[in-house]
Amino acid sequence: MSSAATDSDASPESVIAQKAFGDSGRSERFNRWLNRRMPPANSITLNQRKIFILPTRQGLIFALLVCAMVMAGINYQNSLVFALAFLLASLFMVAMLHTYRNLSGLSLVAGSTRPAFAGEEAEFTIVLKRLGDRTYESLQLGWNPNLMANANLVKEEEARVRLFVKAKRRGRYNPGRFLLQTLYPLGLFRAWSWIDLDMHTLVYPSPIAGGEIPSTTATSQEEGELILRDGAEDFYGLREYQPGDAIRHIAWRAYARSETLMTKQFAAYADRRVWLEWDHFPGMDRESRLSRLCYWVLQLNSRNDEYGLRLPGLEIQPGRGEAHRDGVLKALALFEID
Amino acid sequence: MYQIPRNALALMLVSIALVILSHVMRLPIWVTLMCIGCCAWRVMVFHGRWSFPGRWVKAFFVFGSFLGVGFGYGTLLGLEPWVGMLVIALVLKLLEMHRKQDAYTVVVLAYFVALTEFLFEQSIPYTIYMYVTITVITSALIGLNQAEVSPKAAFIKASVMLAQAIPMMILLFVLFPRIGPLWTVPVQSNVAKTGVTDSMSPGNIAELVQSDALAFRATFEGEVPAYSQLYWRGLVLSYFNKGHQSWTQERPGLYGRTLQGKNDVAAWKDNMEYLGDPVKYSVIMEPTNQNWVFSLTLPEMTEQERLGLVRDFRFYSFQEIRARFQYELTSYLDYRTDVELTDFWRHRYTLLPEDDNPRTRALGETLRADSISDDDYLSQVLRHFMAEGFAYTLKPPMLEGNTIDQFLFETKRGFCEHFAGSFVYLMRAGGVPARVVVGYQGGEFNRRGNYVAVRQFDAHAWAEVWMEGQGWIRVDPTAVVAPQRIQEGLEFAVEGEEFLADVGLSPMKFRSTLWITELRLQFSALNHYWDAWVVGYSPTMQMELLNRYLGKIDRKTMGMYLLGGFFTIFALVALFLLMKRSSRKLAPVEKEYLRYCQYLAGQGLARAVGEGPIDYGRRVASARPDLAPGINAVTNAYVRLNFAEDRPGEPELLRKAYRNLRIRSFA
Repeated sequence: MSSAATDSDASPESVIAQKAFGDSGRSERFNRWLNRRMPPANSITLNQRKIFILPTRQGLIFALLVCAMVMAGINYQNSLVFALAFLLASLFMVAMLHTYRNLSGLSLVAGSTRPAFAGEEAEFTIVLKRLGDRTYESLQLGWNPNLMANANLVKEEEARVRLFVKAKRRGRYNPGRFLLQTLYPLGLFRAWSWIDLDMHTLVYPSPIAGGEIPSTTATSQEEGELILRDGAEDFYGLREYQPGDAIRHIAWRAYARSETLMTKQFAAYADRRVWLEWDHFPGMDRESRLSRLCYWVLQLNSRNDEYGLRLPGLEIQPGRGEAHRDGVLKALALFEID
Repeated sequence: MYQIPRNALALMLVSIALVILSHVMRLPIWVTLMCIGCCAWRVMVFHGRWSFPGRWVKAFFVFGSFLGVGFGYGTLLGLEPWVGMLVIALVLKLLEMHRKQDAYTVVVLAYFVALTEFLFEQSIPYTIYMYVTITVITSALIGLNQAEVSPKAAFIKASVMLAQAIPMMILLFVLFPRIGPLWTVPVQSNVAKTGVTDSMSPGNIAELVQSDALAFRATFEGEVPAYSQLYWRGLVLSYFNKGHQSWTQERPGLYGRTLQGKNDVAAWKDNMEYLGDPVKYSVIMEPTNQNWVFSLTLPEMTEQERLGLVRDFRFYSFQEIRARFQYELTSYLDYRTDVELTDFWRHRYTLLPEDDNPRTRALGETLRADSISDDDYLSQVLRHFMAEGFAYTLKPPMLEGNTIDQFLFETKRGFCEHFAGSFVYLMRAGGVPARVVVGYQGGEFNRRGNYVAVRQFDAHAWAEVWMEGQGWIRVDPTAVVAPQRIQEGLEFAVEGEEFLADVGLSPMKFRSTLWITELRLQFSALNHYWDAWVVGYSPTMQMELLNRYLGKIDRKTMGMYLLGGFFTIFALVALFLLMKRSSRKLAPVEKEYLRYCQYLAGQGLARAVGEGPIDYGRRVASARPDLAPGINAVTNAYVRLNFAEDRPGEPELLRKAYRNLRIRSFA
């Protein structure tokens, strides 16, 4: 499984590991209401059920300005002052429509996600799409109201926005609803929506250095790791001659065929397979052990070693490579989490 | 700290420049310089060369300009000082833009300064200018909320939004309940008084008629009276001031009650007898900052709150006319007034200072001795004016000392005030009650607007004499000397002299050039409608209009109409904005091909439904062999562009093929 792939196969009852920033401001009841009104889905098109709109502080000040202008019109009995006041009052109403329009009809689709280690930021890609000639400007979205990403859909048909959100605890992480809002065009109104694209990602335990891993042990051709080494007996293959190679290893027959100097290679099998075991870290609690294990997974993977994982009730056979690492990390992430 | 986007700042500076520019003539020069300084400072801050002013510097600016405005205007409580302070606050706030919120404050202040402009000016060009200004301010507001600010896009967006706001604005303008002022507000001060004044000495009307400014416009219901009948009575001057040698108003308090409202009662009310047909008219007066109101004699009493009918049969406004003022009157051009004159008034109206203008006095006594009656005396005096070589001129010689003697016996060249003043003096010298009336005479009839426009150069002075059994009758000595003045207007009476010599290029000088006159009359009619219907849209007018079109309605029904109408329009705008528009824009290739199909359809060879371009081309080519090569070229180009491969930039090919086809078919 690639690290950037979406966990779209996640079971619906997967754990919401942590509430996102944006959630903190909403009550449980409001969340339930939101879930009924716009249930999480991978693709959402905004309509009047999903868009909220209210005047901003600036909008209220603007409304006060209009009232003051009407007052001036009354006291000066001046028709053109009235006209200006009414023009701005109507502009206020039109601004509401334009702000609403700047969200309405917009489609949001869940994009890829990138897992994170606990305490770091997970990445979620959200794809914004527009249909027809409706344009969208100055959209802001994100989980953290103080750190919103901007998006424009004027000439482009779709925009990809990468959002980062801090993942606190390991597990399967659903950051919850994020905020999509716009103040465009006049800043007098704020139209917004709380959107849940049903996105998940994995949060691995945060790696903590420590503990010792028992080093290489058994030697056998079946289970061992191939180590290229001079002086070994088993012929392994040919490679191009490099200055310094022993002359007795030159493959003269191949030279006669291809007129290229080739060196024969010999290899021996050394067992570098490591078992990462729950029991290597006695006296620690579960999370500490998982963090140590995670650290060693990263270490072994960077050394390109072969390793397996043994947890209570779970065993992953040794292997190497990105896919193997991700599998092991996923097991660590989801260990004893229902 | 909030850093305003570069283009948003540019838009903001432009809008500030526009709002201040409209006020610049009214602002002291140091305020303007300060505005420029603050804007420049803000630009330097933006470029990072200077920093924002510190707290003490700001405090100094605020306090200093506060004092400056106070001393500069002499007060802090007028309209102009308020505007001055508002402008200063606007530019100082520019130097205090630390948060986004401050930028909003600047925009709100800019809107408000723009509003104050309307307290001074309400003409059409100004309104257009202010509309543009409001658009720019709105685009500055958009700039604050755009992720990537483009001034052009912001301006277009602002224009579109304002255009969409206009229907709702019009409804609010018409239906929003207009009520009277809630409290008194400072008004423009130190404004020059314009128009005729309450003192007339030789030369001051001749000065007034150097201006082509509008005095008022009168719209008549029905026929407009003849030019020579249009005597707009403004003031009655019946006291000769010896020291200034000028005619002034009667001492206040002598007249008794001023009539207010139709049913008001005063002892002298019965001295007015209305004869003949009523003439109804409505007048829109330009602000004069004086109290005089103009009417045709003899006016009926009116319900207009501000107006009172004075003992000498003219109206008076209780407040100075500081803004354009509209009133409706009914007059009877045929009338009788003061058929009986008490001894007291007979004394007042024949009163002359002791021992001045002896020669005039002597002349009066001689002529009176020669005449058999007051009537005859009047004729003799007029004959004197006719026969003794008097001339009507815009540039009368300066008079000193006993000005009436000097005019009657030496210079003999004068303007209407010379004739009216000396005539009344002569009449009084002969013991006939007489008084001077000042106002306007004539006016230009505008057929488009069915109104008469009266300008400052129509200012005039004439006389009234009291005749036994007839009461006051109007006598215009100018009519004797220069009849054209009364029948046609000033510029015909002063032929040979330069009319409006002191005014630069004025369209009024070209009254004899037809198309200029036509253009001017059209624009003037437009102005008139603007003033009457937009600027002059008052609570009474609102009620009248609504009663006419919606029937008798009360405030509550009006509110229902207002809300209902408002939300209907709002819903329509919403529908227009939020409707899904399915009409995709056609690619240039498609557009060109459609034109080709339409052209052939016009030739009777319409493309059948579902017919492919190749089949169609073949069919048309066989039907019109003459066009076959052209049609094949178009078909080939279209097919290649659409179905063969993606070749950008090639629509030109199709366009060329189509053009060739048209050229060929034409040949």
